[in-house]
Amino acid sequence: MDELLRVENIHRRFGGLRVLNGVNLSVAEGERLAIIGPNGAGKTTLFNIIGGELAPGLGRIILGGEDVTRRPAHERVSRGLARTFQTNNLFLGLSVFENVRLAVQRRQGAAFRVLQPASALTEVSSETAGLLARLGLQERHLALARDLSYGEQRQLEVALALAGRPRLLLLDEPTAGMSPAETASMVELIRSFPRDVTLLIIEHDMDVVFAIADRIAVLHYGEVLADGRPDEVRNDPNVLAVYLGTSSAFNVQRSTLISNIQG
Amino acid sequence: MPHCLAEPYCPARKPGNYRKSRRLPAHCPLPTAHCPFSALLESPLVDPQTLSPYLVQVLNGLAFSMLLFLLAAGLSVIFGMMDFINLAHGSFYMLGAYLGFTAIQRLGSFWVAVVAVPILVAGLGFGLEMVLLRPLYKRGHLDQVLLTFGLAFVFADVVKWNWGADIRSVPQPPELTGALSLGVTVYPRYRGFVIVAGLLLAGVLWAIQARTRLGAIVRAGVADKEMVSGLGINVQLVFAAVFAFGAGLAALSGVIAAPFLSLAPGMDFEQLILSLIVVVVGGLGTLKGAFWGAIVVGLADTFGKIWAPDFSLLVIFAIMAVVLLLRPNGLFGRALA
Amino acid sequence: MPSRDEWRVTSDRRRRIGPGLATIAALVIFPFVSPSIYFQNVLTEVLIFGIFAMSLDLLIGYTGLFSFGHAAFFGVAAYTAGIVATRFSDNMLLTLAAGVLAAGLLALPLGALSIRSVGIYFLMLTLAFSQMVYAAAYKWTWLTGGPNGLAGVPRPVLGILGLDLASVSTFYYATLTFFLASYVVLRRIVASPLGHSFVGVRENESRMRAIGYNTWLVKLAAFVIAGLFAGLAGVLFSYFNGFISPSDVYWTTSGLVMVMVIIGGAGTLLGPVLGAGLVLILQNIVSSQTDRWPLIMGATFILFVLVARRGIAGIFHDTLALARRSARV
Repeated sequence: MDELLRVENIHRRFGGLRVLNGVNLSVAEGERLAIIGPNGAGKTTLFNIIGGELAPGLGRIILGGEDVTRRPAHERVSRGLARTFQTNNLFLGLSVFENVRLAVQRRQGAAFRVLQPASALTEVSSETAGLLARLGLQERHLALARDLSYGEQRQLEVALALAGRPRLLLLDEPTAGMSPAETASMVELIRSFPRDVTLLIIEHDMDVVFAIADRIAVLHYGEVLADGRPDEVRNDPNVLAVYLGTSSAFNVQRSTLISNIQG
Repeated sequence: MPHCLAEPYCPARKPGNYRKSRRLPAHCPLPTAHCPFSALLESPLVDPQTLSPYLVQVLNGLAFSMLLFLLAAGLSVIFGMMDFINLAHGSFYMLGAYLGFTAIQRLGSFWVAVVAVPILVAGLGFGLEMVLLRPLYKRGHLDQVLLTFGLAFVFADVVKWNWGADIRSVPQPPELTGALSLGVTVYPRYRGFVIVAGLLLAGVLWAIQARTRLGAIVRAGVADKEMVSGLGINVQLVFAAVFAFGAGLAALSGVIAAPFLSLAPGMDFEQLILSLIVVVVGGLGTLKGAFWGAIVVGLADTFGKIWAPDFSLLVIFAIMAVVLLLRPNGLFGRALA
Repeated sequence: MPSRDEWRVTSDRRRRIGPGLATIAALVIFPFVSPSIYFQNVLTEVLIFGIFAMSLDLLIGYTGLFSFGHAAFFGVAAYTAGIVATRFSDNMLLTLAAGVLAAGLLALPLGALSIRSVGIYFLMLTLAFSQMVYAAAYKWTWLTGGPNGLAGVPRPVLGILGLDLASVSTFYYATLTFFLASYVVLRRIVASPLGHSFVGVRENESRMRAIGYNTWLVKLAAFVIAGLFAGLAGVLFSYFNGFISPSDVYWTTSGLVMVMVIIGGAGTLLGPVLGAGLVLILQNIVSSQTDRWPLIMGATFILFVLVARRGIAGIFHDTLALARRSARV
């Protein structure tokens, strides 16, 4: 499979603090890579650099064979990138429908049309409705985003990212703050993505990681400590020593979670 | 006979050709006007006779800078703490000037005015903050900007109502009239006072913010309001006090400015614009930015009025635009939230 | 999948046509009911500033760009139309096109430079640029008449229709036509995908970037469109007033139209028109009684910011909602 994303020697500091210290990652098409690591390891900063909101001090980001390091965020989105945010970053004053419609009209290239009312664009509206249905938000489509429950807002976050039909999707702690039931349905949703969507996920919940990830990269103080298949990483002594303390968390079986979902 | 200023340094001079009478040396093929060295040496840095007008203008610029600094310091700290720009700040300046005018007329003493008027205006600022601005904290700083814009209109009209639209002037205090001798030139004593007072105040303000507990609280409040409040300090009171202090500084600037600038309607807006430019150029939220921004703008304004009198404001705006385009947060400023 | 009706969300709600038609009818009949020249002139001025205020609403209310230099486009268009009319030709199409084009051409570079900054910096940059335009209007006496202004701007001539726009009523109807046309076009723009993009930028600019919008371009589009309509208002103003002076480009004009937008209700398009009406009519009444108009306007503005932040439109909306709720009970 082709390499879709290459993160090459990324360095980034904030004042005196070195947040990312030579991060190298390679993500193949269709792969699901989970990035784990303690708080402050630089995971969200890495996402901000891949997404284009932040510039690296050193290094390159190569998306689909193209060096996008100099490209602003919106140009990376048109090249197939999308992301969700760790804390909900929604259009709180707009309805659920309008939130997603904004993303859909962009994807369809209709964002600068002036002469027709937006409601007349049936393709935009139907695609929006379809996406909402897929995420189970169609009942709430008229509600304002700020009136949604936390879990629903997290779902809306994902909907906004999916609307762009990305080939690379960055999910920043998609299940943060969710109840076990909500987490399980989010996991099911993520597992339902077709393989032409490559996933990069930051997660703290190891159950989720094992349910979804093909590969795990461990980020520690801005460096990649380990990078490989889940069972390799689970047994890596560096990782055990630094991140987990004890190995108990890693011993949670992936199968337990899967059997929960399958009922 | 014209003499060449460059003569003592002229490379064409051969040793032994120098004549004490300072007439054109025999070796010089060029008349004075065409000698490149002559032009260099006529610069103020070398020739004391041409130094004095430049020196005077630089001092004038510095005096004006000090006035701007007093205004900008208040604006900048208010922004740093409370995250909004007070568009009525120029009004405090104007009130200081006009109240100073009345105080000097009635009481006859400049020094009493310099102390009493800023205190009075600070009190006004304190009241304003508690009654009008506090309710708007929850709504975001934009609403506070709008409100102070309305206030500026109200104050401008109140001043016009009470004092009329004629241009007023204020006499200088007798102790400070006359001129100082500065070696190469003389300089009005009052303006010298303004510069010295300004620098002293800058020093005092810096000392307060860097060395005292109050200063530490204010700096902490600028960095993180919630944390300061969590430490048990009454943030509301600190805000009101900072706002009042800023208003007092602006009024002080007005009182000090009164004896050498004239009082007229519109002075609030002019000074507000300049101090906003100072704050934007220097960077919002820092005393250092207010100081250096004031130096830049004060000198630019003074020299702009000499070199291009019709376009001085344009030049200042252009400087501001250039600074913003290169450093979107000003020279020393922090980014907006 | 929700049906077409169920998709209709707050911004798509079809406006009730009744009140709109009634208002238009009232505006059309007005000169017959009250043939007073004074009132017709007042209303003409209200309509002109209504267009100006709507254009600023596009920036402030819909895109969240607080520009303090909108008078620049108003003034440039007014001056351009005046200069063309007094020196070349008083043909309406020519002066109109020249004025609006000038405003749009100015909006492009000014917008491109200002938009890179946000918040107070944006405010200051727009103010700075408009003060530069003021300085030009003041200094370039050979072009603009300097501090004495440009006088003798004739009412334009539209040969085809043979209208005499020097007549107060005819000019009123011409202005009304322009106003209604502007309103319809701006409504369309606001309801369009681009209009929704404006709102998206206002609500959460960083998320707009993250879903692929070139927000700089969106903001520039808003800036230029707003500039064009401000230019239209400026041209109409120069016809109406017959005289333009640098004070029309001064910050006080930018401030005045901003006050109209806030008092009327930002983000509603019609609100600012009501704001323009309130401010201008109040100005006429108060100025004839006392000199203290700035004081009263400032105090009124403060009152609105404190208690009625969403302006007249907000008050209407809240009253209607209250009425509906109590009717249901």
